[in-house]
Formats: sequence, C-alpha cells, structure tokens
Amino acid sequence: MIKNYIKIAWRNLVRNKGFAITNILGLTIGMICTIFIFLWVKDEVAFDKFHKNHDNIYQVMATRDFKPTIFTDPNMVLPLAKTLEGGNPQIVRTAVTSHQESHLVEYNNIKLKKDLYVASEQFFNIFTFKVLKGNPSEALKDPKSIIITESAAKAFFGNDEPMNKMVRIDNQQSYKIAAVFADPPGNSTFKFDFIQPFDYNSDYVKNRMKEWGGSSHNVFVQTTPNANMAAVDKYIDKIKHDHSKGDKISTYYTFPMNKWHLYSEWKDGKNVGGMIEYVRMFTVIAIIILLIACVNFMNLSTARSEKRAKEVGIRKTLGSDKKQLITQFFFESIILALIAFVLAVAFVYLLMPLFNTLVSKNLHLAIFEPFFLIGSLIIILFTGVVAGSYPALYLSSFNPVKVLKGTFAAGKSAVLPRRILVVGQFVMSILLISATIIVYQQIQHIKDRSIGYNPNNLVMVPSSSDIDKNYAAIKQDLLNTGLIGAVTRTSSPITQIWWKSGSPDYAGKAANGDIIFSGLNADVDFTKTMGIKILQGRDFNKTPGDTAVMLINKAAVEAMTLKNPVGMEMNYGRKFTVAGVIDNIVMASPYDPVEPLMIYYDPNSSSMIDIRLKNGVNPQAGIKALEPIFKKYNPQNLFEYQFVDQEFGKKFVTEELISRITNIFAGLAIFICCIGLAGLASFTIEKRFREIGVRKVMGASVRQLLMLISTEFLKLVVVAFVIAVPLTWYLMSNWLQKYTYHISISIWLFAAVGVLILLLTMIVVSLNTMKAALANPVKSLRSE
Amino acid sequence: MIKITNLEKFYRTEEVETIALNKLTMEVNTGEFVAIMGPSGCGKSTLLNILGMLDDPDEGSYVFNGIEVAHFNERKRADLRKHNIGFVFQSFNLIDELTVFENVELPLIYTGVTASERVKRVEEVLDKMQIMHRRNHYPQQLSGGQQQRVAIARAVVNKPKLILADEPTGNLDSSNGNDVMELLTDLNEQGTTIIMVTHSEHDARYSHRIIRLLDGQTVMENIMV
Repeated sequence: MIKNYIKIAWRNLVRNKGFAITNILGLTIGMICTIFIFLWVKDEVAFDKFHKNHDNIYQVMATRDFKPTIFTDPNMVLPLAKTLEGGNPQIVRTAVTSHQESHLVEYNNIKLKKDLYVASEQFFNIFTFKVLKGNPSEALKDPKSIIITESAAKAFFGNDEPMNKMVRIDNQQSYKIAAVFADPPGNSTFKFDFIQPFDYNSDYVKNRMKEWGGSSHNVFVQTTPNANMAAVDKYIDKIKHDHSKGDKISTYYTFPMNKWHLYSEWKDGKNVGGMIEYVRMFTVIAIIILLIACVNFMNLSTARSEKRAKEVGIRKTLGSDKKQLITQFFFESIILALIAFVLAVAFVYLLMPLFNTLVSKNLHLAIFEPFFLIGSLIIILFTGVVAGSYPALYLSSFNPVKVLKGTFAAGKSAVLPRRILVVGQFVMSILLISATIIVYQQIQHIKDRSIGYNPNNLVMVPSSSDIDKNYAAIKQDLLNTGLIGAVTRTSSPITQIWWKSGSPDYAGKAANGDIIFSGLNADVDFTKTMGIKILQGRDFNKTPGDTAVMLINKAAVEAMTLKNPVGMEMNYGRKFTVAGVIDNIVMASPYDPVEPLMIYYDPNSSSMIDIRLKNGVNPQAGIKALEPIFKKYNPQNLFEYQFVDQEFGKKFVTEELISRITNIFAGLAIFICCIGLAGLASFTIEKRFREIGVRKVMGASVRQLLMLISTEFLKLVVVAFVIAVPLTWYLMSNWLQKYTYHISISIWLFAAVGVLILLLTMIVVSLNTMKAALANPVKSLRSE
Repeated sequence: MIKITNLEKFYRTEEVETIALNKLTMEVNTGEFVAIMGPSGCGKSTLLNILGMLDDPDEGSYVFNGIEVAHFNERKRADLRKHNIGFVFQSFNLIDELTVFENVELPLIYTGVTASERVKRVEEVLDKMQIMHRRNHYPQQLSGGQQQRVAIARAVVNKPKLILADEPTGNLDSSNGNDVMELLTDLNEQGTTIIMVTHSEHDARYSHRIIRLLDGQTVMENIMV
C-alpha cells in the first residue's frame, strides 16, 4: 500500500512539474529560513550550558534603590566570595573575578593586547572549561602563575610548548604559564585569553580584602542541586549587610547562570528579559514563514483538485475508505516536505558562511546530532501534516458518484477557504514588511538623536602610566602637528559610563531620596575637544581652582530641580562649586534618557586621551600623525586608537543585526507568497482559458483581460491589507513602547507598503496572465 | 442475492425536489445477467450507485446477500464493496498516473492481498483479457477498447460476486463493444452476477432479463430467451 502511495505521489510530482517546483521552491525557502533560525535560537539558548554545573551556578547581584530610581548592579566587593564560602551548607563553592580587562602581554618581543580575568581559586571548579595542559585549579593558587588559551598560546609561541614559559604583563610583572585550555566557545559569557590568580600577598589585594564598600568585582556561587534559593539569597544579603551596616539601599540576591545571556536587561530592579525577546520573535517568524509555504501547498493542491477528483472517485469505488485516502494525501505532502528538506539542508550548508557573517556567530550544521535529527523530523512532519491537512481532508471527502458522473465541480467549494488562506498569507507578509520598516525607522530615529557631542573626527587613545607622565608634552606635540584641534583626557571613554553613584550633597536635597549620578573625571579642554555645548557657566579654565569645581549636565539640573546651578556648592567627598552646566551627552545606551552626570577635574585618573582632529583632516592622516608621538613617549606599549563614531556605532550592533535578519526574512516571506500567487494565477488562467478566448472573440483587449484576472487577486490583497494594518499597528506600538525615544507609526508607511504589495500582485498575476491573454483565441476554443 | 423493497431516493436543490427512485422494488438472483434500460433521467444510474453502495437510499430496504445494508455507514459500505462488487464504467475511469498493471492491482491492495499473490492474479487476469503485452503502458497510451478491457480486468481481479456495469460500451465502436459484451457474458457464464445499465437494445440482448425504468419505477420486465 505504502509503495503504491509513494509511486502515485512521485508520478504526480513528475507529471505536474509546475506544481511540484512551485511547492518545493516555497517549502525549501521556508525550511532554509526555519533551519537557520533554529540554529541561531539553539545557539542562543545553549549559551553557557557547556558548564557542567550550569543549573547550580549563580552570580551575586544587588538591587540598589536610590529612591525614586532603582538600578541593578552586578558589582560586588572582593571579600564577599571568601566570606560566603563554608558558611551555608547549600553553597558548595564561591569565586570572585575582576571584570574582563585588556592588558599588554609580552613574550620575546611579541607584544599583544589580550583579554584577561583575575579569578579566585575555585573558578575552574565552578566553571567547566576544557583543560588541555596542566592543572588550572592548582595554577590559580600560585600568584606567579597564569593560564592561557590555546589560540593565545599559538599567537605567542607558535608550535612551541607554552607550559612554563614566562610572559610579562603591562611591562611589569612576569608570570609562568601553568595551564593551557581550549578557547571558550562562542556561546560563553566569559571570553578571555588569560586567567590570572589574585595575589593575596600584594598590598592592593590585602587592602581590598578588608574593604566592604566600593564594589568592582563579580561574585559567583555554586549551590547544591535543588538548593532553596530564597534561603541562599537571604543568607547572602545578611552576610553583606552584617559587614556593611551603612548600606541601606541594597538588596542582594542570586541570578542563575541559565538566564545570564537571554535575560540580561533590568529596569527598576526587575528583570525585563533581553535576547529572549528576539529568540521568541525569530521562532515565531520561522513558523510564520513555514506556514506561508504550507499555505501555498494547500492552495495549489485544492485548486487543482479537479485533476485528482477522478482518482479519489475510483479509489473509493474500489473500496478505499476515507482514512486510507487521507493517509495517501498526507504521504504526498510529507514526501514533498522531505524533498524540500533535503534541498534546504544542502542550501543551508552552502549559505552557512554567509549567515555566520550576518549574525556574527560560528554556527554549523551537525547532521548526526540528536538535536538535528529530531529537529528535522519535527520540521518535515510539521510541514507535511500542516500543508497536507486541508487538501487531505478536502480531497478525501469527494463523493465518488458525483465525481465519476462528471457533475461534480471539484475545487469550487474550496474557493472560500483558499481565499481565506491567501488573505492570511498576505496579512503575515504585510505585517512582516511593515514591522521591518518600523524597526529600521526606529533605529534611524535613535541614530539621528542629538547625542550632545560630536563623535566624528574624534579619536581615543588608551592611556598608560607613561602617557600620563608625559601628557603635557604629548599634548603640545599633538597640537604642533597642525592637524589636531584640541586634546583632553577622561577617566572613561566618552562612549561608556564606568562610574555610577548617589548624588553629591547639596542644599535642598531630599532627606529620603537620592538620585543616581554618572561620574567622569576630565582634564581641561573637555568641552572643546568633545564638542559639547556649555549651557551655563564655563568649562575648567586651566587654573589651580579647577580642582574645586564641577560640571554637571542638564539632566542633573532637572533631576535636582535647581534654579541657579552655577556657583552652587556640592559635597562629594569634598567641596566642589558648580562651574558650568553642559548639554546632555549620550554616553550610555542611546535608547535611554541621559542620566544626571557630574564631571570633575582629575587629570591623574585618565583611561583615555581624547583627540579632536581638525575639520577636514583625513582620519587616516590624523592617525599617521599621532602614532610617532605616542611611540615616542610611550615606547613600552602598543599604539592603539579608536574612532569615537565607530565605538558609538557599536551600541546599535544588536538592533542592526535584528534589523538585517528581519529584512531578509520579510523579503523571503513575500517571495514565497508571490510564488504561491503565481501558481494560483496560472491555475486560474488554465481554468478560464476558454473564457478568455470567448471574451477575446467578443473584442476584449489584453489590458481588459489582465484586469479581469488581476481583480480577483487584488481584492484579496485589499482585504489582507485592511486586516494587517491595525494588527501591525497594535503589535509594533507595543514594541516601540519599550523605547523612551520612539517614532510614531506613520500612516504613509502603510500606504507605501500597500502600494508595493498591490504592484507586486499585479506584476506576478499579469506575467502569468499575459500568455493566455495574448494567445490566439481560436486555439483555446478549439482545444475544448 | 439482491432484494430491494420500496426504495426511494430524492435529489433536492433549493427550490425543487426531484424523485430519482420511487418506491422501487426488485430482486436479482445469483448468477443472473440483468440489463436495466430506460430514458435519460429515469433513475438507472442512481439505482446502480445504490446497488454498488456508492450512494445510500433515503427510504426503503436493500438486502445484499441476506444483509440489510441500506443504512450502513461509509466505512462498512466500503468494506462490503471491495470484497463483493466490481465496477465497469462508460468512461473506463482508470487512474492516469498508474500503469495497466498497477490499475488492475489496486483493488487487491485495498483488500490486503500479498504482493506475490497480487502479481499472480493480475497477470492471470491480464492474460485472460489479452492485454498482457500492454501491462506497463499508461491508460492514455491505449485505445478505448483496450482501456475498457483493463477496466474489466480491474473489476474482476478480486473475483467479485457482482459486477455493476454502467453503459460499458457507450464510448466504444461496435466491434470493440461486442468484444466487451462477450467478455461480460463469459464472466456471467462462469458464475458472476452482472447488472448492466445500457441504452443499447443490442447490448441488452446479451442479458437474461431486462428491467425497464421510467420516472424511478419499474415499468416492464422482459425475460430474454
């Protein structure tokens, strides 16, 4: 029986090549999208899951409630991890690390900037990285050791044995390589080249170990399986508060590793998701695209059911019951799905490098993995069953008497469902296209937002102790090149906020509330170099008095509700006078409002030298001029630089990635729709071939004939449009709500999409109708 | 074998109700060859469809081999049909996508005959119908007479007790038509009951008995001698 089904299915495909190609093409494209999306989603969901203990690893976090604003802070004090260890039976291990830092690493004249974590002894017992050589846990107990990744080892030592070699860090201390491990996989939160132990004998670490304020480390705990996390949180909160009685604003708790990547966004102390939204969105898009392709199959199958009706009638007469027929038609759709799937897998293989570039990942298709095998089965069965469901039920319900008598007009009763399906397809396509445009407009809107400074032709060079020492001479030499307009230095890059705290004390500060301030140290010429507008007062003025003044931004003035900020006294550790108010500058997320900012003069804590190239100076020529100056004064270090506009652009990486992917998928969705439309149109024409001939004889023009056929489809598009517009409006308005600065959806957008879809429909239908409309009517009439 | 009593069948459209069969009563015995005749619209085909369990009556009784089948559901009808009844149509009704061999094999598949047994029986019947040499051709590659032979081969391959033929020669020239009638007569002589709807007095002469219908009722029965 099965053999018979396969035979019939295969012959039907071969005999109806147009039908087969249309369906296979649509399903293949749909499946390519689905496979890519699922690979991407799998990679996102599998983030950090390679750690054996991932279910029991947590990061300690704090909710810091500066009334009325609340922020979530992963920064912890250094002694917390050690103190938590052994104090609670549910906590198995703890570890503390520095933030990821970039350091100059040197071996035999090879100098490279490499990423490094400083980590405590239990780090490798909590986290599972693949060890290639040595014993990393032992290495972390010896402050003279360092652990290196495979690729970093290759970069420094080539094929030589890395173990026990000495590398020098930041031109200071040398460390012995005590272990080598495989590079962390692409979906690891920790990304690094080196891991270095804490040196508990150093004065710095000794002092920090006594310090229970000033948080700048990450603390991790591994619990027993099924630990009571509420109790663990309570314990951690108690330990921290026992040691810092003054901390009235913080609540401490644990955040599970399984959520680190997908749920990384916090608002007002609550987790508001993160990448998970895109994971969900793309899963939905994958299913929608596959459904659109399935609908093509349903429509074409029922449209040409007249051709199958006779077969159904004969089979029923010969004793087939409905169930057997349904099985047969499902077989056909599943075979089609299988063919499409095999093709899709081949294309996914070919397109994988392109897709990896697009999404900046290193995905691969492992055909023999259970995930892939089960996934394939699900995709094929889903597609086959969904696509085959309606045709199977429809075709198998034919009455053999009517069919064989020829009085049965097959396909007629399926017209309405078919129209509904076409409308559904177009609703989804219009939605995807409109949404894509809205996402793009929103990103542009944010990019066009005034950021309060001029990021173009602005260069940042990371500072070092040599640079700091020779800053005055460097600045003079830079200005002497004639290419540089201004130079300053800052404690963090202008594109990042490294420092947040409560507000300074000031007259009129509310007793029970606080305001979160961002902070920055800067040198003279700060506003000149950055191109920031001073709204009131002045910049630092190169006098000793600079150390006692502070600049604040407009947001600070508004948050503190100050009437005359200039000249006001602020107390932040010591006394400052507000010298000037600057415009709001976007240093953090361009999607969020600018927070209050204070800047005070402290040239000795610089991390970046900021250099403004004169107008019209070619950036590469500017860099050429900078390089010898920095090499001269900072010979030990590599010359590195960043263009601020590029650094700022990185803030859009995720959104632009999402925008690119949705562009492609929306385009493909509409393409699959058009294939289906073309199929339906050519089928309609086949059925109306004689009518077209008669009309032509009666004097209809080609244009009139094209309109006749097109109108049938254009009506459906109009209905789809009427449904899609409010739906898109509702969904996208909701999405836009998460941005403080967002566009309002324009009616013109829908008008444009509407015209585009109508035109596309006209073109697709006309191309298919043209042949019939141009044909000699005698031919069509004779063929009857 | 067949006993129908007061059988009624109506066709309804929004405005008109047409009576296709009007309290029809008739009997067909095992081994008979019966021809049903009458003008267009007299209910011949409706009767044949009900006899073949492709359609069910609105009123009345239909006893097939001692079993009342008038209100069987589709599944039961299909089951009874595939084991007992073979069909021959005016327009042959072969499946275009299947070869001659595969078309004839189809009823055996539905009755669950094993593959090796199927090959044996299909070859046997094709041989008997003298179309063995065409076994791998598709229906479109055959003449009308050949197609009807295949259709008859398909109808008899399951060794049914009853063959229902709906104007089996209607699409054939007289020579091919005679061949088909000879084949049916042979089958009848070997014990198969045959009920044939026809317009052709010539064809009807091959039967034992002619039932003439008018407006859904039996108007006359001729016994052939």
